Parts: sequence; structure tokens; C-alpha cells
Amino acid sequence: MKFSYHSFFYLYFICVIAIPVKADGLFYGEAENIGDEASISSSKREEELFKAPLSISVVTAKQLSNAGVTTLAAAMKLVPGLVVRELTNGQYEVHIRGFDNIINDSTLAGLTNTKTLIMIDNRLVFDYFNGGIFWETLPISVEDIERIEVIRGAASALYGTNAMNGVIHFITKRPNAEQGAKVSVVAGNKNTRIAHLSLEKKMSDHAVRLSGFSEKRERYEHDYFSFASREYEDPDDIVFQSAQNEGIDSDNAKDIQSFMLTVNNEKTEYFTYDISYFHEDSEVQKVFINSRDIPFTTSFSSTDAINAKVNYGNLSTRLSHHWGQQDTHGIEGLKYDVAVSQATIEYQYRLPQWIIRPGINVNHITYDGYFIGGEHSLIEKNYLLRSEYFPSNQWRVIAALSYDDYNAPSDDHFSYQFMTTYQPRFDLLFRAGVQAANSSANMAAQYIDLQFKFPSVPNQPDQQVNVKGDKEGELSTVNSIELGARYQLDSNQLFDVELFYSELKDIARQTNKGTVFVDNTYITTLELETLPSVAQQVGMTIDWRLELPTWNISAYLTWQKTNVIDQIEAAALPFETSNEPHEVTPEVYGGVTVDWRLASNINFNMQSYYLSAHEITIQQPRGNYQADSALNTNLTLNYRYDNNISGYAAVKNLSTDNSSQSFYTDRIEPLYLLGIKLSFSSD
Amino acid sequence: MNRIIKLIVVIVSTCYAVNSYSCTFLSVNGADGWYPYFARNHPGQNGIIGDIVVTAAKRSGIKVDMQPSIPWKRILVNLRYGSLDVIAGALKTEQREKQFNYSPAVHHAELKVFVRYDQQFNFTQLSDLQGLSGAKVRGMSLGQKADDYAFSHLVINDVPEPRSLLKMVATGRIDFGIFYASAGMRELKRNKLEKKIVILDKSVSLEGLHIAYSKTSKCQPKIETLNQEIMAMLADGSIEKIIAKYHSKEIEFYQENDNEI
Repeated sequence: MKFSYHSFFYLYFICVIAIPVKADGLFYGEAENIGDEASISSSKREEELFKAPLSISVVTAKQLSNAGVTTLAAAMKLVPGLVVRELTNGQYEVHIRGFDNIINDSTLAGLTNTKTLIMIDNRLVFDYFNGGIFWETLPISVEDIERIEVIRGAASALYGTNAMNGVIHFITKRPNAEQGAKVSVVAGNKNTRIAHLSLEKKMSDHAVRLSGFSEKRERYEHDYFSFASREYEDPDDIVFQSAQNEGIDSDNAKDIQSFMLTVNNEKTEYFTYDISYFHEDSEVQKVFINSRDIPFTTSFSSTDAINAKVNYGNLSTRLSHHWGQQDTHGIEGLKYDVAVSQATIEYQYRLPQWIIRPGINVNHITYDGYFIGGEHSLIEKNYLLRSEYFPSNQWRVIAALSYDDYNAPSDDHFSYQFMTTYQPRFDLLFRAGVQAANSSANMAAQYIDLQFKFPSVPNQPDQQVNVKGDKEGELSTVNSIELGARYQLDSNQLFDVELFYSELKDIARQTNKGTVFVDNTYITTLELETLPSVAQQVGMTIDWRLELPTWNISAYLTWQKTNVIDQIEAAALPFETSNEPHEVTPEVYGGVTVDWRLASNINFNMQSYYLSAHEITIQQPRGNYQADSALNTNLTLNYRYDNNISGYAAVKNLSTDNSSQSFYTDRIEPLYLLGIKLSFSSD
Repeated sequence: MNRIIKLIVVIVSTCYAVNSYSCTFLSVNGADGWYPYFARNHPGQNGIIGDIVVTAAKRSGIKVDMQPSIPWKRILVNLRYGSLDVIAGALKTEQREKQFNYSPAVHHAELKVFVRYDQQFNFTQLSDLQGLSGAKVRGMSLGQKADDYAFSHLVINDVPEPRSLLKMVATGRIDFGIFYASAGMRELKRNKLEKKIVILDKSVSLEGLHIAYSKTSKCQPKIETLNQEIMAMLADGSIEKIIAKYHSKEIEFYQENDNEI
């Protein structure tokens, strides 16, 4: 008998209509998103998720566990409005809504996300090398996560500079048992080995937690895509032109070790403290620095961080320091020391119907490396004023202002968020926001000073490229308008719809200023130049969630269209421009997560993620990459033997198209994982 | 397009199927940390309002499903949509009256002000709380008049549960907390805070406690029967006996030695 898609549909339809399902009315959703989940990020104070004025989503530890998520970036597939591409085993590139690789003549580095602010327990973990995210350097594991909050849209007035397209905030676990220990071990093909250990103890109102993890993975394939031959080739067959790709461990995708230590007291105290120490060592392959040979480069990092949050009544302070060394294989000039200090002080003043929260934030960033000709510092001072006013029980108005004073460039900036929510009924909320955000300066843009000499060719003049930054180079800005509505269809279903319009401008990049011939050498000079290009994006995200006693289903889809006004043909003066659609961000992307509790101790999770066809263009000679639409599915079966022992089996990357998800990176292969978790606690 | 239509049909039909069930019992829930008004996990001791509901159901031959602990706001949402039939104990507010049906008042709840021993102040009316910082449990009503006054004149934060409320009072994070007198006393004892916190004499409000019924429940005939029986219990003195039982030493002793509610 032929069992077609149509017959499946009709059978399903008959089943659900004809067989009355007994819903017992007993419901307690995992996330409690619909009714009672509090979000600590939105509007910068604890409140219910449903009433949040921003476009926000939350992923809980339980959701991560049920979906068998093993890396932080992969968790982003569970979040509406995010574009997630896997580069190789466990290595991802994540973008909120898009705005990646806007310029046609982008380098490979242009593929990285430079418009999202990442935070761990309120500490900004932005990387100021080229203003982006180094996912591998986040010193925490999925097992350390209590919840992840993702904010979409320009939000730097509330969260800090660089939150141009949004914020990803990781909130880590604090002890909830008198004392306990947890061990998690995951193994899979491609030599995937992940281990995590945590110990925790409570002493009266104080608590301490220590955790560490190790993650090793091999790439999905041994071959690299060669820009020269335009084919995937064995590394031994590729003639590397640059040292950055010579002598690399071609099979290693990811090798990370990290640990964190936290001490804290209860949040209900008048004087509260929460102090964390982090350390990470990592070696990964990722798409990062422009290469003439292959898409991947190997990056190393060894960093430490301390984050101290101290509250005294309504006064909140945070001090953090992050320091260490980072390196790119084969490019001596890109080995540098980094030190980032942050200090924030805020005071919350409450009146009836008013909340006022002034504050000051100072970031001091120092890099010391050959690529910038020694040591340079960026100093950011943000003068903050956040206010909420409640004209009535149903209506709220929020204004967040940030006056940003930088040492480079010397121009001051002003970012803002004006938002309002109106809740005519308890099950319906409308929201609107007008927002402006800007990036910070970064070392590569402002201070880079490098000379690259290409290998000499007999009987040919030498070639040299000089790359120079500009301390006064302009900072990118995003202006966005958000409209949204949340509607509870019933006690088990929630619709969340958001419409957005964003405009990105003041994009600066190294631009060819011309070539001169000196001493038998062609010397090309690249200098930072603000481009005339403006990217305009309009889109919509729909999120539907159904939570039942044994079923949780969420489906989310984003449609977006981006046009670039005055798109440049090449990063060379004089600019030739034209208006054209931006094809790098998929027009449609989203996912479906089905979580089914088969029995009290067995849980099945299916997570599918979809990217529509799109095209990535990198400056010549690297060319274009046409990514076909692909639906990628992960299946996870969790089994809990008792309160102390549980395990799971997962099959990941079952896909309709296993070709590379980014610019000629690895072709994605299925990953088979087995995980065991042991838990011991005194209560 | 055809596939999209089918997808919508699948979603809608799933929702329909999930929501279709026959009425064989009344689902009942109530607020946590609200002894003596509501309690769970102890047969025969569901708190005053819980016992009133269970007794009325038993007298009228209705099966009751006492549901497990879930957040208070979730309970209200479930009642609104008919996935919960009865709340054993709720205050009346204008907004809630639009959404739920109510029994007559079966008892009264007294909301009091909780302050630190060393930070007591004279409290005779709500305006005495002006200029201070307070808290209540998220979703909790102070009664309609007090809610209206508090919104425009007072600073009252929301906290997730009673324990946090009392701890914040004890540590000085807030100047006062508003909570139910008897339930609050029990929470004080449980958290060993009775020597740090005092309950001020004057009530914030004395509100009638009602049984709230879902307007959208598929069990309307059973709900109507239950309500009739409750009115009969009011008339014949049964409810007075239940209230008296909860003030007896026997119950008090039992509750003192219990940590499970």
C-alpha cells in the first residue's frame, strides 16, 4: 500500500477529530512562559515574560536538556529569529535576524557576527579584536546554564554598546541543593567527547559552586574546500600560500577546557554578592581571518575573568576583569594580550507609577599585539538613564537613554530605546518600540597597522599590502522599529508576533586607497573608510507555543527582506554603487520543537531547524556560495533511571541537504551522541 | 499554499481535539502557602475553603480532582480558559468578576502588614504606607479598593512567593510586606522569622473569600450544583463547623508538625 503525504494528513485529521482527547486541565509548562515565567533581562528588572516590552525569548535548562543540546551556540536553534549555521562539528555562526556580510566585497571575517552583544551573568563578553563573538572562548558549558535570554532588536541603551541587533544573555546556575555533585559525559562519532563536573554547597545563606568541562571534537570531514581549485581537497594536496593554513591540525574542530567558580548569598538579603571566576583554554577552527587558501583558520585562546556583582539595597554595582592571550595559527602578528575591565553602578529609585534607574558604565579595553603596533586602549563611558512610567494598570511607557563617550573615535554617540506596552486584557498585550544603537570601536578597525608581503614569484615584482586603521573611523549604527503582540489563545497556547524594521548605516571597512610601485614592489594600501551603503531590513517573526501535560510544541518562523542602498561593487575608491537586495540572510528561517513525555521517565524531543536558500558573496577570488534550503533535524531520547542516573541518545543533523551551511565550510554529517548524567545531592 | 492550509488545519484540529473532553469531575485548585484557607497533600485537610468545596461536592455526588501545586497566576489563567473548574478561595476584584463566577463569601481573609520588629511604624490606613517600599506576592490582590489606591499612591513590588516576601522584610530590603495574617504567621514560623518580624494590628483589608468558578468550563451543570450546595452549607451552619475545626488545637498541632503543605 502506498502511504503518501496526503494519506498521512487525512489519517491524522480523522484521528484528532474523531477521537476525543481527554485533557485533564492539569498543566504546568516546563518554562511557565505563558503565565508565570519571570524574565530578568527585559526592561532591566525582573518581570513576567508575557509583559516584556522587548522582543524576547527564553530557553531554560530543562529545554536544553530535553533537546540534548551540547554547545551554547547550538541552543540558539531553539530561539525564534536567529540564523544559525554550523561551520563544522560543534562550531557555529549565529546571527540575530541577519545583517551579516552586508557588503558584497566582504572578507571572510565579514561573515562573523559583529552586531550582537553576548553577556554571561550581566558581564559583557564582547570581543574587541574585530568587534564580534568568539563563541569558543565563552568559559561555560550548556550544563552550567540556568536559562538563556535572547533579545531581538537594537538594545544598547538598556544593555550596552554593541547590542545593535540584539542580546544573548547566559544566566548560569547557582546552588539549589544543600550540597551536591553532578557528572555529565557525552560521547559520539567524529571523536566527540564532552565531560562536565559540578560541585555545589550551601552554607546558611551563602553558596558555592565549582564546575568544569572539557570538549573535544573532530571536524565532519578531513578535506578542505580549496579556493584555488574550487573543490574539496585533502589538506596534503593543497598548496598553501599563507602560513596561517600550514601545519594545522586539520581534523581538530574544537578542543576546549574551562572551569568556573561562583560564590553568592541569597538574593533576598539587603547586601547581596555574587562573585564568579572563569578560565578557558581553547583551540578551534572557524571562519575568522581572510584566507587565500581555505575558509578555516585555527584560533587559540587562554583567558581568565572575574565578575563581581554587589547590591546594597537599591544600589547595584558590577565589576569585572577579563584578561588573557589569543592567537591565530600561522600569523605571528595576530598574537596579542587582551585585558578588559568593566565597572557599572546603577541605582533604582521607585515612586508610585514610576521607576527611575540612572547609572554609569565604564569599559577599559587594552590590546597589546604586533597587529596594532603595540599597546592600545579603548575607553567607553556610558551615562545611563532608564525610566518606566505606568499611566494606568494597562499601559506602560519605557525610556532608556545612553550617552556614550569614547576615546576612539572622539565623537560622542547617543543611543535610545522608547517602548510602550498596552494590555487591554489579561491575555493580550501590544507593544511598540523605537530604538537606536551603535557599535563600539574595535582594535582591527581603529588601530590595525600591518604589512603583508606575498611570496615572491621569480621574474615578477613583489606584492605588499599595508592595512591601516583609523582611530576616528565612524561607528556603525542601527535604528529599528518594533511592533508586537502576544496573545494567549487559551491556558496552553501562546502566539507572539513581532514586526520589525531596521536600518544599518555607517558601515566602515578597509578600503583600497590605491597601489604604488616602490623598489620593485607593488604596495597596496587599505585604510578604514566609511561606506555609503545603508542596509534596510523589514521582517516578521511568529512564535506559537503549545504546552500540554505531556506535550510541548513550539513553532517559530521569521520572514525578512533586506535591501542595500548604495551597495558597493568593490571596496576600492572611488566607490561604484547600486541598490540591490541582500541575499546572505535567508528570507525565511525558523524551527519546530516537539517535546513528548512518553512516560514519567522517558522523554522524546524532535527539533527541526530550517534555512531557506541564500547566497553568500565574498570578495574575489573567493567568489559566491549558493546555499540551498535545508531542513535540519535532531532527535533526542532521554531516559531517567532514577533521581541520580539519567542518560540520552541523540541523532543530530538529519538533513534534507548536507552541504555546507556557510561559505564552503564542512559538509554537515549526522552526529550520533550518547550521554550519561549522574547526580548526587543531599536533598 | 495547499500545504500551508493543511498545516493550519492540523494545528486547529489538534487544538480542538485537545480541548474536547467530557465532564466527569470538577478540577479544583487553590493558592500555595495559604493555610488555613487552602492546603493540599493531606486527605481530609484541604484548608477551610478546600474542605468546603470537597464537602459540598461529596454532599452533591460530584467527583473532585484536587490538582497539584502550580503558580497562582497559572491557576487564574486555567480558570479563565476552563481547563480548571474551581478555585477554592479567591478574592473578588472588578477584573476577576468579568472573567469568573463567584460563590457568596464563605469566609474572610485578613491582609496584614508585616514589618521588622525594629522598624515598626504606626499603621491605621493605607496612606501610612506612602513613602515606604513594600512587596506582595505576584498576582495577589489586596482587594479592589486597596489595589486601586496602591497603584497610584504606593510602591509595592511583586515577589514570587511568600518566603521571599518575608525574607526581604527581615533583611530590610523592603519596609513592609502585605500578606494574609494567618498564612503569614505560619510562614514566619516555618522560616524561623517570628522573632524578627511583627504583624501590625490594623488590617490592610478584610476581604470576603469566595469560591471562584470558571465561566468557560464544560462542567457548568456540576458547577451550578456545587454552588447550590455551598449556599445550603452556609444556611445550615456546616461551613461554620469547618471553620471551627481549623481553629481547634488538634488541627493546629497537626499543622505545626507538618512541613509538606
